[in-house]
Amino acid sequence: MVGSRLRLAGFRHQRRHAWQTVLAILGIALGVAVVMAVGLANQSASRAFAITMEQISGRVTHQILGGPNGLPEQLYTQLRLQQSHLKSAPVVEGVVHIGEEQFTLLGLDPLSEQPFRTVTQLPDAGLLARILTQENGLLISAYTAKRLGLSAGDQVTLDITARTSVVEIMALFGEQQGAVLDGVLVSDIATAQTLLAQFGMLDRIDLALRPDQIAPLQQWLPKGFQLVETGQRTSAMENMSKAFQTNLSAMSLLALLVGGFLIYNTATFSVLQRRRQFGIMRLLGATRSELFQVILFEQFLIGLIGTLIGMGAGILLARELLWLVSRTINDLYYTVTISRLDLAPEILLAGVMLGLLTTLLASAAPAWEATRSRPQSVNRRSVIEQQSHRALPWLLLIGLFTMGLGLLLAKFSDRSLLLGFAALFCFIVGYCLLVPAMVPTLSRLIQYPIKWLFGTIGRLATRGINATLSRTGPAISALTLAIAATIGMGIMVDSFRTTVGQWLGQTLQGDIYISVPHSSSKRASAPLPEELPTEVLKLPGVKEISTGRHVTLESAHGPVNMLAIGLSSTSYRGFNFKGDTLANIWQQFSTGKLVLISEPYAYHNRLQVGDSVTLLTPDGNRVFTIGGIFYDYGSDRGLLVMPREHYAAIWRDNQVTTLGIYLKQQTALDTVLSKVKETTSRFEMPLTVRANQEILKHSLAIFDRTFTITQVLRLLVIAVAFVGILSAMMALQLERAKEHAILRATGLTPRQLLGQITLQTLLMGLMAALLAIPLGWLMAEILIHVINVRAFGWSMPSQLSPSILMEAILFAQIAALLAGLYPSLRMARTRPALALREE
Amino acid sequence: MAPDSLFYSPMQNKPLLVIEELYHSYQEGGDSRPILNGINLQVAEHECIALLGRSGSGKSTLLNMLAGIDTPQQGCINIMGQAIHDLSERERTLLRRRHIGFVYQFFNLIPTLTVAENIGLPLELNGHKEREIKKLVGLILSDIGLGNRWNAYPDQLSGGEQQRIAIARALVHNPAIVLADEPTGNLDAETGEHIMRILLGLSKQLKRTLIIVTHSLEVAEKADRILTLNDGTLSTHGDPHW
Amino acid sequence: MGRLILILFLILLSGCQENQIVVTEKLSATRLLSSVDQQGFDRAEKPREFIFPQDHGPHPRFRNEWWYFTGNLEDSSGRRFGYQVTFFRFALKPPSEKAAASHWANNQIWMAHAAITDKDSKRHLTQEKLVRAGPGLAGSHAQPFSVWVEDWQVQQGKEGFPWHIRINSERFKLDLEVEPTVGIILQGDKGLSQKSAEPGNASYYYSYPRLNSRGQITINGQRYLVTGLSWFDREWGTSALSPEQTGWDWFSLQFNSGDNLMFYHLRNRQGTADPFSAGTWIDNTGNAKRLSLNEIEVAPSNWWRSPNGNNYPVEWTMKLKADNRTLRIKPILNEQEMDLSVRYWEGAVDIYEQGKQIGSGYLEMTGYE
Repeated sequence: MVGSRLRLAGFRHQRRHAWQTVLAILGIALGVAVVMAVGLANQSASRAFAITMEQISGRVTHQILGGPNGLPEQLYTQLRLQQSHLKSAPVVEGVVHIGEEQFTLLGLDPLSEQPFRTVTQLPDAGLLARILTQENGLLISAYTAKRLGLSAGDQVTLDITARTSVVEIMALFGEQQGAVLDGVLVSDIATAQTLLAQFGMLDRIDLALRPDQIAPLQQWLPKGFQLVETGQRTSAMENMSKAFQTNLSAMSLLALLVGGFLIYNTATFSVLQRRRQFGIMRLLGATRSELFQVILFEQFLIGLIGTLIGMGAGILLARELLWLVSRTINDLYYTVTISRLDLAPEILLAGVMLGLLTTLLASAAPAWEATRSRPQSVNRRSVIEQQSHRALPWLLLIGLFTMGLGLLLAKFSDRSLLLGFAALFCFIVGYCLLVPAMVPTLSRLIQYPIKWLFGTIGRLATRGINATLSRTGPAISALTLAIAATIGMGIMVDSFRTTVGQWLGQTLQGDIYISVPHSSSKRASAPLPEELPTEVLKLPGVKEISTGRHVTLESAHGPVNMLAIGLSSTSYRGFNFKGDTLANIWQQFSTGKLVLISEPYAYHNRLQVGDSVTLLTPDGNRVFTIGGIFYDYGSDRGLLVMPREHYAAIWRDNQVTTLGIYLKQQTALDTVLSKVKETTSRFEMPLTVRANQEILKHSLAIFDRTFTITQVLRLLVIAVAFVGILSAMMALQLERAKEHAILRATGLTPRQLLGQITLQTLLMGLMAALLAIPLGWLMAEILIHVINVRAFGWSMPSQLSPSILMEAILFAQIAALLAGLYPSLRMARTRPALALREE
Repeated sequence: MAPDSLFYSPMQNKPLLVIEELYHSYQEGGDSRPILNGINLQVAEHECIALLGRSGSGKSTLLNMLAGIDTPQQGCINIMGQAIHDLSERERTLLRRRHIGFVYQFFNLIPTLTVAENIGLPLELNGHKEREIKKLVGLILSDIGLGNRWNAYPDQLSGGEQQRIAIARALVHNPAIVLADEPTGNLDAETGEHIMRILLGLSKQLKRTLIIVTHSLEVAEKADRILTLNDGTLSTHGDPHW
Repeated sequence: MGRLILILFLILLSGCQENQIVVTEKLSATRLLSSVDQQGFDRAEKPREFIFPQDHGPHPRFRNEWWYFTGNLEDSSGRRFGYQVTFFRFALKPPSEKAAASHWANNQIWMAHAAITDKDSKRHLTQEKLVRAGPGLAGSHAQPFSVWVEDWQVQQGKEGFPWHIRINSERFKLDLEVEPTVGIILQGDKGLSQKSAEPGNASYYYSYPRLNSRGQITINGQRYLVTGLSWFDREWGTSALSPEQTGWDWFSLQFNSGDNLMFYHLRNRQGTADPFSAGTWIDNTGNAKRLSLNEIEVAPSNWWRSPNGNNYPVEWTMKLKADNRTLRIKPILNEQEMDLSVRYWEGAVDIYEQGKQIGSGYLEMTGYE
């Protein structure tokens, strides 16, 4: 076969430059690993959700839903007594904890279950009677049991709204392998009602309806209840976390983009280093396509090795990311237990394809260029440099064009998150194309100060950068991108955190807040004891209180979060409105005709002040006018606010979820705090009492927790970038071994040479960092003002934090320094004669 | 004698290489510097031609054009009945691969290939079988007296040895024409002589057409014809002794 | 009647899966009954005083209880129908002192079976419901009397009788008013019906053996106005059969003469009649006379194999020894198998004496394979 010697030459080249090859492989591996890990974690989350929903929903086509407290079980009785031909089953659903882990407790009636779920098809016939009769007994999936080290007959302690109940695991269901219904506990409906203290109420009625049965049932259904299609509801729930997951994917692609640039960079070096060789081969009669194939094959192999390593690392990394992803989804969206990594073939394949394709694309350009050039020019370095410099205007043009495209995309893609990301990527790629064009200017700018500072060595260093633009250009581009990515993500998270902090500071007008640790209901937060508000008001030092009730209501667009508030005189200040509100907003608000909606809710539902929302009330649908849109970063699904007294009247729900306490002036917080704690401890139910500042701290801790995954991704991008800087710089300097040898031969001391090399790499690092600042800032702007808005509906000001910039510059310098060290030490150790002889 | 006839091969063999009215100039800034200014030449089979000329006179350019790696701005080069300018890049490469051997002043061995692999490369490119390659490489290595350096890498050899390898590589695939660009230019006199002996000996023995670009009259005198490139035109030199 | 108590328990153990029924049916009565936890329930150990209408209502201190209607009906053109409507209550646990806060935790399971036999079309339609009492999904009240499983209900009228039976299923509907012509008959020893030797293996058992019935049957949208006679059985207890007893053949016969006969034929392992088999003769004035096994003799005279492979003796010869009468009992349709959660045969029959039809009734057979 033609080319074995050509390939052999390539192989030996890689072996001789093992460092470079290893770094190239590492770059690809890291890029692929990050993409794959995020992909797998995301996929696992989606699958876990889908499987759980399928198992929970079974053959359920529709559900009857009620108000925030669920629906009275008498409705089910009426349904059975009057519409017994419909397949229906009552469901009680709640949230419980075993240790730190959150579970969904599903209370079912086994005798009604047959048309719906397979959960209650029990292996042991005698079990049914036990399920129906035993108090505090439940079923757990075999998979979960294995994971938690539990078996049938064991006792577990459930934490339900901060009360504990000891229950017995009566039996396991499902197989140990499939993570079916992981995170779901099944019990008899009576047990569930008892555990959740939810007597007389159901959470929903599941139905399996034929199309012709839907309309009559809707006719029959009393006011205040809603018949919803299960599929719609499931997909609506799944959509809640979609934006979050898309964001993760995009971030991981950023890692790959950085990785791709690195591959391009190393491939370029690898090819440029061998231009002479390739020239000889061409002279000996190797055709362009033969040579092209040989180069591509070699890079393909590197890509393949990198990809395979990346796959392995990605799977390992995915295991780590998985719980971060699931924790964030649980914190922000819905309860789902993702304990099993789903090695979806399509994700693995996509990862492999991305790795290989990126390698091939990145190396195709230099390979093409190497084979295009005329063989006789192989010996002329100046030709390449001339070409590079000649290409600059074109790069500039294409870069500007691409950035312009990005701008257009961002402006005209309306609400599409994907197009938003496309715009972001256009900006990044366009900017990276501009970088080489800016290098000559920059190096000319720093030429004089450097020369003044470091003399001849300084001049050599700056000159070298410009003179070898074909090499330094892409390297600096790659560095710029890597640093910019870390800056951009850093600014975004930082701005977000600052905004949330400020928002919390403004929202939490009260001095002390009381709430119940966590709720066992998926629709409403756990209520406080009824007599608590009056008792608190009696305490000395308490000026007034505000009350809040958090519930999930049904609207025409699916479930919405409602906060019903009993405002104190100052809690109005907690609202910061976006744009105009209706006139006399607070006065109108107190009449109960208005609702206030949060910014994400307005964004997602395309609502404006003056529009209306339709909510399901016990008396049927009711229309409310939107009085104002307020900033809120508590939920990306959105929040509605109305006066609690009106809410209580309409929904017949007088319960209170949170209590805000306002102190009289010059009252010591600590004194009242301990008094309040004393008061709450008298109630059987454990209550959380927190001072304003404590909540702020706690909330920011939760914020940090949910953004851990973003930080991890940022660190990974930094890791990829670090490897990139290292490999680019190293390759660059190693390639100059001969030049260095000549310098040494001409009389430079090893120390001077070391200085020159280090200075040069540091300068390149500095240039990249300087160039990265505008790009990083631009990325942050797009992330904050385009991506965040589209994904979550949150708008916020961007905050340019100097520490992030310093961090980026520092990290670029450290990487550059490290990268310069090895070649200069190597050079200092070898005799110049030897290097002069090479090649 | 008509100026044209001067450059026709006096040998009876049919012409292997015909150059007609070759013009070429380099762009330097805004100026155009003519380098070849109407070259005409016929080279017969098995002929050995020495090409003299000052540095920058265009000798290497002419050689590159003969090898098909550079194309003249005007004129016609005909190798073995094929007009080079009619050929595509790929066809020119194939022509070069099959019929032309090249020896350079700076050896141009591939540093990552061993001696044997370097020599075997043209054979492999021409589609020879591995076993045949081994045999031919072995033969030619012993011909140049380096049969024991089979597995050495170029940087482990002396300059003279490297050039011998380069000659072996240029001849091993039996090319019709061997082009040598100052093959002794980078070597001391003694080694240079040795190299020339090998180059001439081998091409005579293998009946190759040989065109040597050289500065050395001593080397040139061993050729069948000596031509000088001066101001872009060819002229005969001294007293060719055929 | 000792009827479907066994069957009900089988269902509970079968996990409501239809494909498990065949398996569970093979479970022996021994294992089932011995595994039943009767602790904490009252037992029918001695005769008691019956008070009406209270005793029409539920007796939750006992483990199981049922309300059992069967009858033969006819429309004006002489089209023959049989019907069965049964409500079973089964307590999974004895009632506790303190009522559970969850309505679902009342440990009462209700099952209802309904069937229509349409002789002319050779159709036998069956339906079943199995629910827990829950928040009023099924139950019974004494005053005013009602028993219901979802939308299958029996309710008394304003003044007591007639009772109104309403069955609504996708395949058929039954809407019937029934009114007794003969008063309440206490079966066995003043209402204590001993089923096997052990004390407490008995039930309290009373009947309305003859109720005038009128109403309508709807099958596939076709409505038939019908009249005829029904039989109502009420029974409650905690345990009944001994492990030796494997099945029964239960006759409730109404003669054209106005006389009525109830007889249950308990079979033991050897396939012979168990000595606790017993019956009651009720004449047209409502006088009841207990019958023991040596006064009455039954023997199968013809067998029918159901599509499911069960072999039932659908025709019987019955000898009333004291009167020296020989009756032949023949089904109006062989295909009256109740192929529900648990399989048994329950169907309308005619009574013949010397080739002449002298009455009609219902026959229930269990324990045949």
